[in-house]
Amino acid sequence: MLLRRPQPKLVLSLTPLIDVVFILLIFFMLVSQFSDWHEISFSTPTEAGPGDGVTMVPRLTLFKNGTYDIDGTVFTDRSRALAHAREVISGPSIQLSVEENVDIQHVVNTVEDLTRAGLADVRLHALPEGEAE
Amino acid sequence: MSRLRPSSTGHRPDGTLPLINIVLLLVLAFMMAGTITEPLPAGFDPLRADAEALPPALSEPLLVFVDAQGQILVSGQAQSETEIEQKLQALKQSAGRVEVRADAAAPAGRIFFLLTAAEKAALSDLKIVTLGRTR
Repeated sequence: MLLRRPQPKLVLSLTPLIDVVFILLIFFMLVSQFSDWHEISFSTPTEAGPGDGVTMVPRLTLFKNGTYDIDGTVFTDRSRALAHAREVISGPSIQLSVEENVDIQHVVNTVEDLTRAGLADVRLHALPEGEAE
Repeated sequence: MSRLRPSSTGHRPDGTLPLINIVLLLVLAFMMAGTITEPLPAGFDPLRADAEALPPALSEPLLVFVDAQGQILVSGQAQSETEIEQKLQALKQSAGRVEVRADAAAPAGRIFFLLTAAEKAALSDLKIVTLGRTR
């Protein structure tokens, strides 16, 4: 009597698949970023000087110590400085002089506040450290 | 009747299959929702602003980081002013783009330097990139 040998059953091992999938998961978890990036536009800073046209524009100076100077009047509070700027400046333009060591976040906050106050044309001017009047 | 009875020789379904399904779904979620980009340097607190969302880009930009000490980093390496100027000149030749990601405490002078260097190189596509403000 001829007996048929039973076919060996193929068993698919899932362990290597799990290993690969976990490695993929760890890779994507480490390299993926979900940050919502935005873009701000800054005018290129100028070196203001006589005859360059920007010296005629009202000037707000930002200092590292957190004070503001608007055409010679010093403020320690930003909202007061902005209110004063809005009172004395009739046009949409302002020159924002910034000491080079001022935090960039401080500059961005000030530019945004000036824009909200109606001063849409903010011209940046880099002020080398220690050159503030 | 014998067809209704579970076979004693058949394999039981593998208990790891649901786990694999969930992990594969997670992989797909990270692949589709996340963006693969250069990680931020350690201790980096990005600049925040109320700004326009960054439009989708067709090409990968050169990522330039400015840390709180004012160091300019490209691919994790500190760059001198000359090196940055050369990189911007080279990008101008290849019509490349630059994204500047600054730490909130970075000195404004370093950002001004990058803006001026881009203008000198006649590179118009330099963007200062921030995170949106948390409300």
